[in-house]
Amino acid sequence: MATLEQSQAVYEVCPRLVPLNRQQTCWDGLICVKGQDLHLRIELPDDRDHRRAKLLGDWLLNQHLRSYRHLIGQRLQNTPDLATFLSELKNILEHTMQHQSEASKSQPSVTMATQCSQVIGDIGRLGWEKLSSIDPSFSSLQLISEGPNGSKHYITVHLDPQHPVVAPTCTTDLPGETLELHWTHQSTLADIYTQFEESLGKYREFWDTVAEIDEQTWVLEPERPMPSDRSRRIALGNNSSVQVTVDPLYPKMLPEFKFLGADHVINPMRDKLNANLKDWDTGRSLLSNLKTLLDIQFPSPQSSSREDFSEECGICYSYRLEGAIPDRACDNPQCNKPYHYSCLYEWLSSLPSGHQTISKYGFNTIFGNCPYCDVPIKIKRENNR
Amino acid sequence: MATPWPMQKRLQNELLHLQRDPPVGISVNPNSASSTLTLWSVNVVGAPGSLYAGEHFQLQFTFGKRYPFESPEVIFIGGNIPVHPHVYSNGHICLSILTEDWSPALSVQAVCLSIVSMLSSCTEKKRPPDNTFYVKTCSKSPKKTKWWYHDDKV
Ligand SMILES: [Zn+2]
Ligand SMILES: [Zn+2]
Repeated sequence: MATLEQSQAVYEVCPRLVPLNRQQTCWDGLICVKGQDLHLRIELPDDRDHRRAKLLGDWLLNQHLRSYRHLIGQRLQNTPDLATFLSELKNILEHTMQHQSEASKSQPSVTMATQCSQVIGDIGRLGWEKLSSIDPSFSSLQLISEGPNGSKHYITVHLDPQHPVVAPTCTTDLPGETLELHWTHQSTLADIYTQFEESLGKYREFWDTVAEIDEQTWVLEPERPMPSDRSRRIALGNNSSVQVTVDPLYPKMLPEFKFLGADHVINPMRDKLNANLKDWDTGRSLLSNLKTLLDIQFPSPQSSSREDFSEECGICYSYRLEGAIPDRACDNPQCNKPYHYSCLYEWLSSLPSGHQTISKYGFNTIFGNCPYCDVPIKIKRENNR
Repeated sequence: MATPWPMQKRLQNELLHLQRDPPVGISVNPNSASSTLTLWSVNVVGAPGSLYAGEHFQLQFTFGKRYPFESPEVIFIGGNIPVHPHVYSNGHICLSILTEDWSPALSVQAVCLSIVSMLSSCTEKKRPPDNTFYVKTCSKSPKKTKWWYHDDKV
């Protein structure tokens, strides 16, 4: 960062911290937190890389930051510039001063100050390399686990104000249920981490299953699968696809299927699958079962290009429309034009000649003609859209 | 619909295609397309061998918010309005694909080609029989006209 920008940015956070030399490698002054002025001096190396900064402070500042050495070191490494670091430092100070004043007022209960130092200690015992981020108020932090094949998994731990008396809540990128924590008053972050890694182990077979699909077929949706995504929409051919939803705990069992595309293409596939269901072999992978039961070779990245299966909608001329991809197609084999559900629905329902039926089951079907070939086409209103 | 239709995307796509790969006798003036792409002007040339061979005409396309679910408004503008039984002297065109036979499968290019072909099939240069009355009484937009379609064979 240029010196002018740096001094400007620092001025906005700590107006009374000033550079002592033109190179701006030495800063001295006051940092104001909760109405208190604390003396702070920062020494930077010649290249002004704030990550190697040396922090010096008065007795009071040192007192406040004594238990947060590691955290401050970590924030120095992970902030993009000096000004950002200073604003995080202010947050940390604000936090500790708040809790120290609370602690002096209310003696007996678990105070936030001890909670903070406990969390810091916990992270130290777990290993700082496993911490991916922490929010300056110490109320949530994210831990990382690297799988054997280089895959990364994250768990976000939200600490309760009553921590550790009240268990933290966790969010993960696991495909199954949320992580059920076993938590006692003596539990630590390391216990959460162990439980997290255990449940990662439970889903290893699931990730292998979907990885095989992701590598060997064209997955149309999701565009960029996340570790928690249980469904894959696999291209079968031009404008036809099958969506499989995998049980993350039993990935080799029969998944849920949904065929999408023109009836003349997908109906025979669906029939074939239903007729061969008895041959599903849980000893083999999901993809290999699918190939056998449908008796097809899936178009693969080795044999085809993605564009072959991402033909744009005949109405809006785009492939992705508000996240959706064309999932309807004209049933006329000579036409086969793909449409977004919403585009086709909008067109058919705007036709004065279009007519709708409402059956006793409440299905609302709109009939009309394909805009391209004039062959009848119909669409059902989907309530979940 | 809460969100705007992707008209912009489709129009960009059409404009690009028409500029890169225009059919013979049709050219879009890229500067004529307004920044919102809702107004274009397209030059068309009468087809060789037709009564309008070599004549230059200018079409103006106006796209509404619901394009391509609704047809664009298309009229002849400029100094040369073709003398044709389906074209009024104010530039309005009586062509069913521009109103009730519109489909989103049509495009600017398809409309231009239809208009050129309408001109080509003409055997006698003359105005519609009701031209004087129509031009005096019609609404500004031909889309508001309830057309009584002239014989398609002309
Ligand atoms: Zn569409
Ligand atoms: Zn069709």
